[in-house]
Amino acid sequence: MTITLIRTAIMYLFVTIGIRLMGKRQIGDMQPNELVVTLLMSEIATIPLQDINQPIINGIAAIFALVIIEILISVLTMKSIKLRKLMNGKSLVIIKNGAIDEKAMRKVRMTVIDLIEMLRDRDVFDISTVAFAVLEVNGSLSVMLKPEHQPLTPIEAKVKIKKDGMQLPVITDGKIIEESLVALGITREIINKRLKQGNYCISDVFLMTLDRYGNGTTVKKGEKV
Amino acid sequence: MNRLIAAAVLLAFLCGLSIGSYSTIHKTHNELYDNITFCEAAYAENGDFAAASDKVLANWLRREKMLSIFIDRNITDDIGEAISRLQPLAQSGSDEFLAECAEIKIKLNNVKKDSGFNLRSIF
Repeated sequence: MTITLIRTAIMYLFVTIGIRLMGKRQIGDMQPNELVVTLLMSEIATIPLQDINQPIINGIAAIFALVIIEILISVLTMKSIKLRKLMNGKSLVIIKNGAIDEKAMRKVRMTVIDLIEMLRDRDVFDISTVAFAVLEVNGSLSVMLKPEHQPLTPIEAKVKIKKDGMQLPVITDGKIIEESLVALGITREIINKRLKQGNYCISDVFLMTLDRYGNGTTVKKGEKV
Repeated sequence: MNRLIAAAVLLAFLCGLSIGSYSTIHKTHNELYDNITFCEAAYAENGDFAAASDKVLANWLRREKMLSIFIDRNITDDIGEAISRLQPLAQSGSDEFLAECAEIKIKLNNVKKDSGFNLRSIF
């Protein structure tokens, strides 16, 4: 039992290292070769855990071999378009200029119901509003609406908008996050100013988010957002 | 670039591991195979085959731990059991001694074959 626990911890560590080396991707965003490596890795990891007679080093070696193959393939596919197409496949236009390409749908064994479901998933409930729909290699559908159905942008509406930037958490649970200040290019003075305005001290703050212009939200401990 | 360096480091680690396992298995095989051959010769010449089988067991106990890092423990246990039978067989002067020696040799050869670069191991 203890041996199983120790072996599990070791395998957990090595699988985590392997996954980290492969880079950050969600299962749904994976290219086919990445998905294969992930599936194989999870299978290989369980073998030495289930059978303690199997040397754990064989599992670790197999995991590392898969990581090496994956890294090499990803580097090569970055350099070669042909290899990229071979390994990952290519995206396919399903709706072109508002017309459904039935041949393309048959090629990927996609039914109209599948297409409608995928469009709904992209918040498109009327297929007649779609100009282009592309099935990406990771299986997701990219949709471009017809110009008359596209949302109005501030430029088209000729509306001046308030300058806005991405907000980052600068205080969480009463602690200042220095990396956020560096990323936003702001100083502690802006935080102090906001704290003074709200009449709080740092330890009272559960969450403070700021953008690079100093705009943001402050949530006190025990307060509703 | 960092991932490539990581891949190179891992590759070096795996190469080291492969060489280490290959050399451990082959060293163990050669040493034990020679010991067993010596046992067989001692038995044939009415020599001190009991002492020779003691040496096989001592060598096996020394090598087993390292070997079980690289190969299935069922296999090492199997070989260990066969080697441990040599002593009582030698003491009783049983004719099965030679058969047991031959069986251990086959098992050792199988371990060596499985670790080698050959189609049988790959497929």
